[in-house]
Amino acid sequence: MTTNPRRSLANRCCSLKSTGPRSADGKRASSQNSRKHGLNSAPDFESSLEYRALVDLIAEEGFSGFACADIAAGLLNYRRVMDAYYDTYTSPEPVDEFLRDANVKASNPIFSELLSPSGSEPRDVRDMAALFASMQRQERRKGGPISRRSADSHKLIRYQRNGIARLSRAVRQG
Amino acid sequence: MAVALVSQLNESLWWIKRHTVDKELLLHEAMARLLSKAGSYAETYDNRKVSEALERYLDGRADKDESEWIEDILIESKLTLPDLRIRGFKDAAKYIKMVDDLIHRQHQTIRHLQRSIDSIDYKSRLIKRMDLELAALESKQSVKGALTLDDKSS
Repeated sequence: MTTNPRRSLANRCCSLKSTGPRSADGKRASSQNSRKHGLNSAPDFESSLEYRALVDLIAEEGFSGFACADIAAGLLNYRRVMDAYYDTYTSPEPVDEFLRDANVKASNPIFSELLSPSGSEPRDVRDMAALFASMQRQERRKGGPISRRSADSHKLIRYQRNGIARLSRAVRQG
Repeated sequence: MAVALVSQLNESLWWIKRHTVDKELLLHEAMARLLSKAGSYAETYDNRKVSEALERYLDGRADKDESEWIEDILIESKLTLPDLRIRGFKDAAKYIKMVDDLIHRQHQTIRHLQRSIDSIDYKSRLIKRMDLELAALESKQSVKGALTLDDKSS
């Protein structure tokens, strides 16, 4: 579907006036908006089927009961981190090409046309243009898709470090 | 157990290869961005078009029009190809450093996994495993024996 720059700009102007969700469902959905990878939530491996199967498999190799539980939890935790890493890498924050490539100065007539029904002053148009210019600067600072996925993946390094350390410790002590 | 650890090790090697490619891509992305900025807005506002043309130009696959277009932008921006690469590297340095960190992390993960594989004492595990299997077979046999005795007595 092709996006109409004029329509897109109008949608952006209207969305700036939004005061957020009102219904309980909307609020519940928007409460998850800032959820990135879920690695900070406490995992519950013990009740999963994979955990039981893994514990049984490790036990067959002659590890003690405690070691089996530790190693299975360590492996599942490491897999959880690596799956989140893969997801983050393959779906980085999308580049807003319209905002990044828009010519803000040339859009001034569109701003004034959009704002004129409400009897806006030229100052409002200037403010709107300044706001878009600032949003554009922020968008450009984030870089292209490769820079974004590198930056996003980089945030998961500490989870990887902790995950592999936990697994390695469990295996060596087992 | 060793299979599970080796498959994680294999995955780490895959990530190292992937991130090494990313380093080149980052440089290319930065070079294309510089060219986009240098050209006139109407011609180079589409980053993707510039990026694809530059890729073909560097590979020597660009047609005459594309080559001329890239050379025109380079002249317009008073840059040579090595200059563009240097400036691109400077712009992308922050992200290249991040990718280097990611590669370094994978190296350390491999070290951890190697140590883990090394620490598993296979001899004692094998004997323990055989013990367990023998015990399981014995218990199976004794149940079978008890059942046949039950059949005979009835």
